[in-house]
Amino acid sequence: MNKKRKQFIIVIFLLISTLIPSFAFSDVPYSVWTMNPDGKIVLTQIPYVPVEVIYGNFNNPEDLFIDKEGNKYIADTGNGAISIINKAGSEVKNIGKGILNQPTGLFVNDEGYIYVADYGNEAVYIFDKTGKLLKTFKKPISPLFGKESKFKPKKLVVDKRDNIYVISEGSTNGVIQLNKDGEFLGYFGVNTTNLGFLKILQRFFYTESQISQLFKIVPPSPDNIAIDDQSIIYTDTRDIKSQNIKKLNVAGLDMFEKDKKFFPNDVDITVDDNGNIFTVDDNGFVYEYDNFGNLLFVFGNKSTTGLRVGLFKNPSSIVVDKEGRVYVLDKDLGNITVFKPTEYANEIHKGLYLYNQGLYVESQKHWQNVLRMNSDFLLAHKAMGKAYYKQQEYEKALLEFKLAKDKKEYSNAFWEIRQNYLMKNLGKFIAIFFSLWVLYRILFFINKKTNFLYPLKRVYIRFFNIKIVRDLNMIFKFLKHPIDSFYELHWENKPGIAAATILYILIFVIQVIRIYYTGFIFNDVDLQNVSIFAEGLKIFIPLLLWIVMNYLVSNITEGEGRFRDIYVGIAYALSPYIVFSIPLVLLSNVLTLNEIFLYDFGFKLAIVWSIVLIYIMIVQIHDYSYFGALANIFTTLFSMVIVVLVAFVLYVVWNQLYVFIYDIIQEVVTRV
Amino acid sequence: MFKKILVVILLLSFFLTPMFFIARKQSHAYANNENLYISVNTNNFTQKDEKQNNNVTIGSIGVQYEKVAENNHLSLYIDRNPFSIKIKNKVTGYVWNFNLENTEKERLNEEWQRFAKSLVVIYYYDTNFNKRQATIYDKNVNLSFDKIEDGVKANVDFKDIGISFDIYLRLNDDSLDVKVPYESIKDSKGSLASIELFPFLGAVKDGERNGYIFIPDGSGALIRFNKPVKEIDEPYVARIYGNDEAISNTQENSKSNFINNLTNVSPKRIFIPVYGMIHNVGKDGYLAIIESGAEYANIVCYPAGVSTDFNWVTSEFVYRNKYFQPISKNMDGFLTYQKDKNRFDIKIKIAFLSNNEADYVGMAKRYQQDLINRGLLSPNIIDRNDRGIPLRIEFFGGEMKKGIIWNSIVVMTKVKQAEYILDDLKKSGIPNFLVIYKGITRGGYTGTLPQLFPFDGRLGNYNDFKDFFDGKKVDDIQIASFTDFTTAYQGAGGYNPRTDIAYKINKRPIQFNKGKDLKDYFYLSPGAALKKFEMDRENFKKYNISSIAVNTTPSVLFSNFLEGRNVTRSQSIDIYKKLFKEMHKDFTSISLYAPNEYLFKYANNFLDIPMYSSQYTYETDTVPFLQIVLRGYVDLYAPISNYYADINEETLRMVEYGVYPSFLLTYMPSYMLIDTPSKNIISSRYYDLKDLIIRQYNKVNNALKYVKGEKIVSREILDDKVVKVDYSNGVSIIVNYKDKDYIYNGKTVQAKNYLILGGGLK
Repeated sequence: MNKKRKQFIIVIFLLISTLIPSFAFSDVPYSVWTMNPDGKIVLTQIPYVPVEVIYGNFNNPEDLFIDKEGNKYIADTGNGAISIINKAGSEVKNIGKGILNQPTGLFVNDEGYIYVADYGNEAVYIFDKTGKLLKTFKKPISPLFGKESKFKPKKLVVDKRDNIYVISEGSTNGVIQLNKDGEFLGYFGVNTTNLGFLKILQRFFYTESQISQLFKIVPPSPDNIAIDDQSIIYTDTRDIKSQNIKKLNVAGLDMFEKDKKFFPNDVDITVDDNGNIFTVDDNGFVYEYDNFGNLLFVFGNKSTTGLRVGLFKNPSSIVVDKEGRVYVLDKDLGNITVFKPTEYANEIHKGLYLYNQGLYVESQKHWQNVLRMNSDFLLAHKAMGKAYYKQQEYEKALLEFKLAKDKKEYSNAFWEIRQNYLMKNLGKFIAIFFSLWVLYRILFFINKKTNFLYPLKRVYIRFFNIKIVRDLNMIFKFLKHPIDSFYELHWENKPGIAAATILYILIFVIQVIRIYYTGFIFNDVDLQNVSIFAEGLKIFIPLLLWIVMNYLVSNITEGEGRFRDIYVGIAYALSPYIVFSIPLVLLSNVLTLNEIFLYDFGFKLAIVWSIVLIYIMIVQIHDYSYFGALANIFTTLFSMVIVVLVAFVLYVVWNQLYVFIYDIIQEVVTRV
Repeated sequence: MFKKILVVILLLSFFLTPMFFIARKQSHAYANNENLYISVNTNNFTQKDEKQNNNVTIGSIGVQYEKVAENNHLSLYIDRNPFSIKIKNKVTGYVWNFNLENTEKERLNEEWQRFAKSLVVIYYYDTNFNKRQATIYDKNVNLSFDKIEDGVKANVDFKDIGISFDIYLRLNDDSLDVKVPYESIKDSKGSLASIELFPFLGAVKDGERNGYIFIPDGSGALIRFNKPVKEIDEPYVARIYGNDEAISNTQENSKSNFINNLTNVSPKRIFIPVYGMIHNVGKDGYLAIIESGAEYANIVCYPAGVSTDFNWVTSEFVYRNKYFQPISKNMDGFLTYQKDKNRFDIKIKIAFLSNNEADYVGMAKRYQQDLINRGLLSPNIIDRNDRGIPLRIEFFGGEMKKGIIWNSIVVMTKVKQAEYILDDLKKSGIPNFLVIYKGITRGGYTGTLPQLFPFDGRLGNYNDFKDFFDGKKVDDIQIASFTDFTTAYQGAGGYNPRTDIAYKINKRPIQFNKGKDLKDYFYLSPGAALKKFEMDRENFKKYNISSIAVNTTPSVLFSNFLEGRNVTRSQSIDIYKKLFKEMHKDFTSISLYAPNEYLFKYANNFLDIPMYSSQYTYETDTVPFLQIVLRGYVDLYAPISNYYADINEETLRMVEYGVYPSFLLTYMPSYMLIDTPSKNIISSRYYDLKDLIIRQYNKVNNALKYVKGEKIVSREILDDKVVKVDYSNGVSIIVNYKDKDYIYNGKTVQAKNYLILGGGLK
């Protein structure tokens, strides 16, 4: 297994959460995947089935092209020729024999001229239909091209105006653009160099000479190219992690959103009539993306379980024809596997076609069919949601967006629903509010005359005289008068340990509530990956560490606080968090993304407030100066880090010991 | 002058005529001076047979051969030095060579020459644990012969390696019975790895002869004799009944293994221990049936182009497996091999087929006969009423969903909802069902096994379940409970994790993981499976369950190497047979998911029967061999159709193969399963699938209702993708997969449709 495959496999491994392929998804020798927006890979229906294998005695063929009439052109690299198979498959023709040396890329324009990139001869050739050589373009002589630059054409495409775009090996300036007479027009779609943090640091600190030695960073050159009907150019660069696939407009700028992820290590790229992008990588996986770069499916595979129809050994080229059939050329097997789209793929393509034109409602019936076949197809849910939204069926749209996990659209739909609700019920709310206020005034008035609520009040007072209730109630006092409260805490033992313990438990409960009840828009937690135990540890370990370390640190630095003070103090210092969390969680269920600042600000406020309270607490209970308190806080944090490090080292050592003993036992058991 | 022209014309025609024939023969091949181009449709279908009557060479028997046995069908000839045998089929006069005679003139290296000549090839481990090959043409191999009744006994002694054994060859009616008794094997160094007998029996060079090899890959596959277009580097090697999970020679649980298992769809299993070869379709052929030792045998097939120019097929009987013994926690370890030999007798029946029998249908019929004779197939009580074919519906009850504090259950189909769906389907005109209810154990579908009871109260109460299984609400149809006596989840109840699970030869439990936040699961040892069934017996009675569907147990075969509880693969078969025999006492109908040969007779319903082969590129045809063998004895059900790729083709295939449709249904929408272990169920809601079910059922039923419970008598390819299947009651079904109509005897078979003929139909 090569390194790349391993990398890919590790990527996949991280993404897979749970999979049991216990059901047969039709009968093809590969499984088909798609990816959720949260990065999880899920199995899906079969979009393409292999229907035909075309054999020929090709030698290491590198490129395949299918023209408008359905004729197939194969760059038979090893034999130094171009093979042309007509649509019916009844005629095979070879051209360019004797002229071509190592043809690695080809393109046929609408007039039937065959453009060939010959890597071996370092030239671009143009043939007519009959195989007559029309033109030969060698390395451009324009000074703009650069004397040092090499001309090693590997792949090429031709646009409607017969400009030629050549991928040349090591061309770090991007794609070479030639006009129809072979004159150099310029470079196109250069990749950017990606400086890591380290490099930026180096650049900042190093001297000029050091930099000139170190920074011979050149942008990676694109490896493959495709063109669509609108003459939009797509480039594919193998070895970079982001923006490896680019959709370039006339100005050579990438039209994909920056955060779109494409799988790396592609060997070829192609585009169908609707702008769907197909790539095949050296692991034999075929990817289809829609024209926004969303992954639709991954199918195909390498033939690790035997040579089966639909698997590859070393794919070198991929092409889609008018009918949506996908052709994959295999270099080692010297054959072309033809895949036919299934009803499922066809429905998705039809839906996408309409959806991309903004015809959401018209696309709906296709998406309905798609969902009937695969109820988990997120793009379909999103499209359905948009259609419902357009038809002002916001409730239905809301459900679809929730299934599509699309927070932005969900928020929009929710805003409409909330708006409608408020509009309808505003009068009712005002009436209720007003009548409650009137009722309150009346009761207040009567009570003033007759005092009939006295028994109730007595119960109320008695309840708040219970120590624990009184202690808990003190969190509001800590909010209002922190300095007094912490003073009391230290000198009068005011809130007891029991109340503080309850508060700690409350913090944990709040955490659970936050996970469960935060509104969909603000909730980033994947419930499947949450463990109650881990959540508990996440809260209690830092708290415990803080309390213990702070006590120990303060003890040596003449702090006056007792352990109990710190224990109780921290609990009460966190009272802003305790008080504000629940209302914020509740609020998050009625807010939309438009009001996100309310939610964010609320939580930030609670946390900052808590930190301030902790600082005041340190000052008060240890009787430190303001600077002394700061010093104490930093020492505590530092010692916490040390403790964690020591614990980690101990863990590693212990683990080693365990493995050592385990291995000895295993060896004894199996060998003796 | 005229004479000269005549000579030229004659000479030209002499050279051109064969070229013309070659061009005709490969219908899609286009000869071009520089480029050969062949387009091949996938091997999903069966090709039309070209019945050639000319150029059939009968073969000859040299004077050095002595006739040692003879009966009405066959005569057996033997050449004692070097050891070589021939069989003459007296019906057709055809002579079968058991090895390749003139190896010198072929494109074979020395090692392959010896291999092709040798009737017996053995493999053994050398001191470095490498597998080596030995033939009778090696040095110091002693051969001795004894005459026995109807045949001969040969003793082969590989002196240098210290391995010797007896081979009994005996004519028996139309077949040659071959036997290597376990007791006769002397293996002084303990190094015997495996034995192959007559690897080159009937081997054919390139496309020299019309005919094919049959291998039981999935539903069955043919490899026609052809000159290969491209060299292939992998032969077909597959273990009968699947690999033994207790013996693995790779590092287990490694991440890459895990990914490979997920991204690859593994090749189809071998359900039946047979293989064969046809020389000239409709003339001659043989079928090898492994009657003993099948669970330790690989079927090995080298199509022309793999290593040699010959097409050959054989079986390799494995006595010692290599395996990986890890010794450290990070899975370092070493490869080693089994100490003790696998204990089994080799028994192969090589049946020679003549004339009309000489095709894959004839093979299937011959094998069927053999199964009946050996009591491995008996006419079960299969559904023969006139209500139309049964539709298999699997209801998915509930699945567990991980929660932060405790797991919850996603309820997908309650009892009442299942009843409603059945009712609704009945109203839509579907009269007959096989219903299987799964995911009903308390705790959901995943993670609860081997626990089957109690049922989840959220799906229905005790009486609901009881009434449902009783079939009172839904008149007289089979309603089966889904069970599995092999899978055991970590932490689940109902078994003892120390003694009840099966262990591998490297002393680790057989353990699987299908996802990182899923619990691992083990295999219950066959003995524990039996015990588990005994424990559950009462519960089945309590719920009035009279029909049962068993997953996993019928389709996996493994040994158990737990000390003190050792069970070999052969013994596992015996225990499972006992288990299903017991089961038959309690249940009126037993449905088995993809069972192997040894359980055929216990199955009323064969679920998830393979409809395709593994589609290896060297396979040229897919044939419904398994279906021809079983139809009429067991009801056959296709895998679920929920996730179809091409619904028309798949439906037509069911009609052609005589197989009933299946669906997995839930009442609730399947997206509810999105965050559960069953998220791969992507379409199952009744509301979504209802139209599809009715359409597919009607299409299949309108054909197969005329041949319910009938056997397939013959199958003929009328044209590319047009198939005629004849049944035992005289009904014929012609299936046309093409986009064009097909005319048969003046009657039109519509495109993508079928036509039913005969059997006193209106």
